[in-house]
Amino acid sequence: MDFVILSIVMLSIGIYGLLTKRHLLKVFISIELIAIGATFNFVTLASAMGKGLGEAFLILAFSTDTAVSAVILALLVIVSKKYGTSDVSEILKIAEEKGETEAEI
Amino acid sequence: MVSIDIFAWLVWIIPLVSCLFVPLISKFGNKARNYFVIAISTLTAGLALSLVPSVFFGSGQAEVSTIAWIPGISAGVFIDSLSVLFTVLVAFFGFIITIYSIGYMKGEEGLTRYYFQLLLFIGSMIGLVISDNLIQMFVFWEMVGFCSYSLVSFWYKRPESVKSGNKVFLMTRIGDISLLAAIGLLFYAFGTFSFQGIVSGIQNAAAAGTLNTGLLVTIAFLVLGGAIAKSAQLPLFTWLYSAMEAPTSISALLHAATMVKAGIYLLSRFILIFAVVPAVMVALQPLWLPTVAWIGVLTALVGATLAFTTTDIKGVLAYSTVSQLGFMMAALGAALNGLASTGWFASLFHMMSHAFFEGLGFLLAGGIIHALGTRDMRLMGGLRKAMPITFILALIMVLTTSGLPPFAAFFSKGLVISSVADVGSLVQTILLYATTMITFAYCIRFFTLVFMGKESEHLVKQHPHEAPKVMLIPAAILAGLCIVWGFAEPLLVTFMHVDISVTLLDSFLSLETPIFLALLIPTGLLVYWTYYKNNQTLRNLAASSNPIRTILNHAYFFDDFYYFVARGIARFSEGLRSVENSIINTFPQFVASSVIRVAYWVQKYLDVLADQLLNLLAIGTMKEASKIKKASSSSLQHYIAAAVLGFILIIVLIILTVGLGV
Amino acid sequence: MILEILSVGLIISACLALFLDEAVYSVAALAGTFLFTALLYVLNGAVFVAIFQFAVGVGTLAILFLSGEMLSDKPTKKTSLKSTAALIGVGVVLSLPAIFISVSGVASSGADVTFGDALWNLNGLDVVLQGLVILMVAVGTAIVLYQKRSGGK
Repeated sequence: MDFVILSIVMLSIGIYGLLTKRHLLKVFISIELIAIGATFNFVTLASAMGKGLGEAFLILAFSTDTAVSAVILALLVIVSKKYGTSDVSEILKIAEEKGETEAEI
Repeated sequence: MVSIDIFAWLVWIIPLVSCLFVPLISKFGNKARNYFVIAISTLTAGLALSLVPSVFFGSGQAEVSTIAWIPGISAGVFIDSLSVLFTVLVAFFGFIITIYSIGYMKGEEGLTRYYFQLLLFIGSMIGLVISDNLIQMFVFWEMVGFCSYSLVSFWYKRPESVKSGNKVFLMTRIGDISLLAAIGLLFYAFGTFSFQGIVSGIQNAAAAGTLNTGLLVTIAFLVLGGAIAKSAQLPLFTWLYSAMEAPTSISALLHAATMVKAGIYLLSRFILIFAVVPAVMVALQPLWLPTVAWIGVLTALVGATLAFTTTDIKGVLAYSTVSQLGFMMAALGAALNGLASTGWFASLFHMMSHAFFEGLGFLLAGGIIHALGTRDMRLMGGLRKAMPITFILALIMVLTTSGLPPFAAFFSKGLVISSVADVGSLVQTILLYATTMITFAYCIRFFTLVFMGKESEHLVKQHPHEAPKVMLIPAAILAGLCIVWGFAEPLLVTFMHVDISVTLLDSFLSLETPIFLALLIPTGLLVYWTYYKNNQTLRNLAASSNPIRTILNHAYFFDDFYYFVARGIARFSEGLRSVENSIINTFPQFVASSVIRVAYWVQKYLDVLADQLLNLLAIGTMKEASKIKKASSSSLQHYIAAAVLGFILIIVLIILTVGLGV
Repeated sequence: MILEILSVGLIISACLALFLDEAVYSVAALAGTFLFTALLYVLNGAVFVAIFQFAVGVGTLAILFLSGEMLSDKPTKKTSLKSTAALIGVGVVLSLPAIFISVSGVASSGADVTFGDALWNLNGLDVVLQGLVILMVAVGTAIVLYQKRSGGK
């Protein structure tokens, strides 16, 4: 099953993006890629084994993922509007100068 | 007998569901919310206690009630003595801490969030211990970890709280990964997640002769990994000290009484599962059980030594918890026959008594911190006049922790040490005795520094008053339990349906007791001279900077190692980033710009060359033309020769320009 | 054969999604990723999931386009063509393991439900059409916002 390798590659691209990217939207896209990699793995394995139940549950997982993504994006937009920049290290620097902690961001 | 199934479901569903109502009810005011939370925790405690009689009078077999969800995974409750013991512990402590929080957290902001997370934690912890399959237990395991994170960083405006919350969550997460691997392997081996399914799977495989003991040993080690992270054993114990950033009531609930016991619960449950077929325990014996025992013993020693040198009042309690958890782990490592061995029972017995005295300690520490506004023990002293009731309760706590008779820990610690001595090596027993000596030492040090002597200047400035009743009453309840719990040992034996015969007199008459007391006396005298009589030479010796001091001050450098690893990962990411930048951005740009430069150079020089050549040819032609004009010999050959030459020159010129222009 | 092409396309669009500088371009690449995974699901016989992924992905992308617009206020440097070509090269290299390495496992069974069946009888067509409408709306809104920001009000 080369699809397992494919999902591992997608996962590693997502992890690489998480490690190196500084733009808020890129970080979010990396998280989406990891989710895509994971669900891809499950769906292809489930359909290969013929168990339709796995696919049904992955639909549930998709919708939950999307709802979470919507909330995350709203938070990202609020944060970027508050600090005027979309660069994570810049946001951290500005927050340190103003003396706020991460949780207040 | 009323069917206890419903109660077993309600005991974790009610806190979980009602935690969602807390924000709603707090719209009606703080008092309504407080009463609601107290009502829910009382209800939960009552439900938990109602489970006790049927287990006590039962036969020791487990009752399972499941609700089928999808084929292969069902939600269920597993009611046997182990689960009910933990459920009663968690529900009871939830009740006590809720009452305590009313007084301790009065006037703080964000209390709605606090109570919401408190109820969520109580519900998920009870769900963890009472669930009957691994998936449900893992879900609750994660939820408990999340509650711990959010409660530790409750005061999110302090950067240390946020960082500590992150550290707690990440370190327990590492254990979660190995637990998940163990669950996956178990499913692969037996095709089911439920505990009963696994037990019958092991039995069938053993009967058919296909038992894969190597796989079971691997699973056991992975489960141990999860327990190490969650129960703050070596090497993942540093998070417990950082978790002291939480409000003290949370430290009492999570990190003394309940969450850190989740690892102990996990191991006890798995020993029960493994003990069903004796062949499994035999397979585990050479490698896994000694590992558990050694980790326990070393953790106990490390925790005790660190508790002896810290100056933070909550730090003493945190490292004391680490040390006592090591005791429990060591006793579990001595459980060679599963249910039938003393070790299993001893660890659970000590778990209950530890919950009582450590919880008591944290409640009192909360009162002290509240009154004095500081956590540093060096600023305290002579508190006994200002806070008399706290002084008496702390005396009870100190006597219990050191394991003096007739308090609870005397029986439980004695049982732990005797079970380890029965099956463990001599070195382990000696180390455990050494740890009890150091335990006694740090207890006396804590007590002396905080309560004895004359009042410190900080004290005089603060004018502390006794803690309010709503904070003292839960502490008093716990102190009472500390006193009587030891005598409940036979009751517990019947409750847990273990086949050991332990009577109370055994503890007094066994060999351990005189050794134990004999060791305590010189330690006590030493510490007494150092701290109480303020003997200067000994104090200077303790405070000098020798290597031991350095090691202890840095918590055996574990924390430094973890921070080093974390910084290494951050630097690795930065390195990746610059590599990527150079590949994706600068390299193509470099190639492109060099191509452009070459082209420009070609254009500049060759073009100029061609221009000059052209110029040269033009001038030459003109010169030739003027020469030919000057010749003006009317010789036809001359004209023809000149014309041919000109023609050839034109051809050459055309070839050159056309060739270059291409 | 088509499996390999789709896999390569998937990984290339994933790489592009991360590495392009302009936020809106990377969201467009993410759209490509969703599209390719949906097609791969269809080829594996999980038609239901593919349609669902399509619909859900359209929703996610709509929000992503809008927030991508709102998140990138500063003018960012444009990715030159050459680096995009280099990225595509990197994507091709990354997808080679997926094509050539094969893990031996369970044999695949056929699809339970045909594609046409899923589109018509199982109302897949409605979902897809709705998704397209939403996508058009999202793109239109993004364009309007872009013009408002860069052009005059």
